[in-house]
Amino acid sequence: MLKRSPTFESLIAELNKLPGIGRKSAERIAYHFVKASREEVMSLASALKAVKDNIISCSTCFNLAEKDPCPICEDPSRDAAQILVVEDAMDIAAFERAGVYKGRYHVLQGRIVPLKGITPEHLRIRELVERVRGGAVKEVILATDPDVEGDATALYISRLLSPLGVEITRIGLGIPMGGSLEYTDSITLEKALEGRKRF
Amino acid sequence: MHLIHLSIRDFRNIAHAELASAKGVNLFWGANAQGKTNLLEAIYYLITGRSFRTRQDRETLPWDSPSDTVAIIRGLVKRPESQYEIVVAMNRTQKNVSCNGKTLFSLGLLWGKMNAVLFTPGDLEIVQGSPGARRRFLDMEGCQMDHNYLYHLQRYAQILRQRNALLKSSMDDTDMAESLEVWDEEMASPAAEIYLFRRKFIKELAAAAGQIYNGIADSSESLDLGYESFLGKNETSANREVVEALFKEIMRRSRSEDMYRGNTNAGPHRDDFRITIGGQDARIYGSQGQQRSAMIALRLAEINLMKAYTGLTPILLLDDIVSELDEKRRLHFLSLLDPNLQTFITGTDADTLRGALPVEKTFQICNGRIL
Ligand SMILES: Nc1ncnc2c1ncn2[C@@H]1O[C@H](COP(=O)(O)OP(=O)(O)OP(=O)(O)O)[C@@H](O)[C@H]1O
Ligand SMILES: [Mg+2]
Ligand SMILES: [Zn+2]
Repeated sequence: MLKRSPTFESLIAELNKLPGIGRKSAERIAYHFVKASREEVMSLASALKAVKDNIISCSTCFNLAEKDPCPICEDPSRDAAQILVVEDAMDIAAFERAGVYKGRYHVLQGRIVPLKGITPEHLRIRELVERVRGGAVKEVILATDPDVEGDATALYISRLLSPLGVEITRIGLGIPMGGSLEYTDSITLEKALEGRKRF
Repeated sequence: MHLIHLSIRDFRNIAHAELASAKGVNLFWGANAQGKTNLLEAIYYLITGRSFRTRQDRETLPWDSPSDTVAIIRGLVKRPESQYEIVVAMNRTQKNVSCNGKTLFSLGLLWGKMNAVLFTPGDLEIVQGSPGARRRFLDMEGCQMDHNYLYHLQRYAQILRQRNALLKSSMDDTDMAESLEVWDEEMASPAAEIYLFRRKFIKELAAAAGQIYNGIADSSESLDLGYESFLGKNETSANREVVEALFKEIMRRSRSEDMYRGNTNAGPHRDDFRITIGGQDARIYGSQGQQRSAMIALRLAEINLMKAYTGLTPILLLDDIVSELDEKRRLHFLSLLDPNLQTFITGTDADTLRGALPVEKTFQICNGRIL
């Protein structure tokens, strides 16, 4: 019986830490690895290692990429006068899939949540202000999630940026209340972007 | 709207009970400690998803039952154009509420499907107790009357939690002040919505309850309610922008104290309302009889408001209320009830109640069972 094996148990414990994986699923996946071929398991292991070796965050926009600056920051066809601010890199994927946005991004790497001890200094807000100070930026679109913490984060940023004379807009229209960008479909995102409001 | 069938399993002292209720007045009759209030509590669960006696759902599971016991309350509700089944299932850690087999992911989705006005001896807390008891009353009513109120209340509470966490953090004063500006700005909108709802609601409740009070208390003194909000006792602005601005001003003024105490000292979470009889605070100067009459007047007024706000006639749940009143007041109170409303009333003395109310069905309750 594998149940008592410390090796097996520690694999389950690791899997159980993954998002969306409960104890039952963790056990099922662990059994799968035990039965799978050595090649299959090694290929997953090296894929995991490669993620950590090769993927970095862009030092300009903090998007995840294999090189710095990231392909979006480097693409001359993307409008450098527009910056769309999101909570995480996953949100960029949603806009890119929808293909409706042609400017640049800025990833905050989170949002302000005092209850979890996350304050503005923990986020890439200072870096955003620096980018805007750089001068080329005309519009900053705040696309944090439309809920209590996302709204507070957007408000905080807009207060910092407004003395700099850029146009600040907020999208939210069309996104279900309390919803997350990640799960929003392309049409909704396009509508949201069109319907953005001046802060 | 009527509850036409109720079935209960493993809830308090009720192992199993089932009943087909009448559309008019239903009487739960039996000796003390048999399970009459437990039945009303079960019905209240179907309507609000909660108990009126405890905030701990697990307390309602039968004592000494196995740890995996699930309490199940099932109700069949008939509305003019439709019929649906609400099920509340609880074990010691979880609660699931569903409508026609579909899980309702927030209690807000349950509220408004049915409405109830509940009379219980515990109501006296609203007149006699702390501001918290009156706020709970306002909020319970508000949420049943208006869905937006629930939304604003939840949003306000969430921002308040974040704000308090910020106040307790070890940020330096200027950074904290800067962050507080943001939360206060965000908080202003739900705070104003809550204020405007409470202000209007208390005014309407006062008008309706005032009239009713004179009937039951047979005195010329008048009952009145006064909102004591974060804007003070006499603030009367009903303009959203004005209220938001005043709220922000108040937050700014109490900021240094908030930072010192690590807590938010002003706002709708500290609101209260004053109940006066003949101009005197009923909490302090009211006699027992006056306080009871005031409470009953509030509840009766609530019935009228519920109809006006939601368009639905509520179900009345009357727990023991009659034993609280003397003979004369009791008869008068019962005569004020609309017998067309579906009513569930408990009592130990069936004859008196049958004499005063057109009881359609009587259920005798003994040791957690319906005989
Ligand atoms: N969780 C529980 N498990 C088992 N029994 C319980 C539980 N909670 C309460 N009881 C019991 O249920 C019994 C009936 O309670 P209930 O309050 O319904 O009585 P009642 O018929 O309304 O009496 P009264 O006329 O005195 O108000 C009480 O004896 C009480 O001890
Ligand atoms: Mg009782
Ligand atoms: Zn980049």
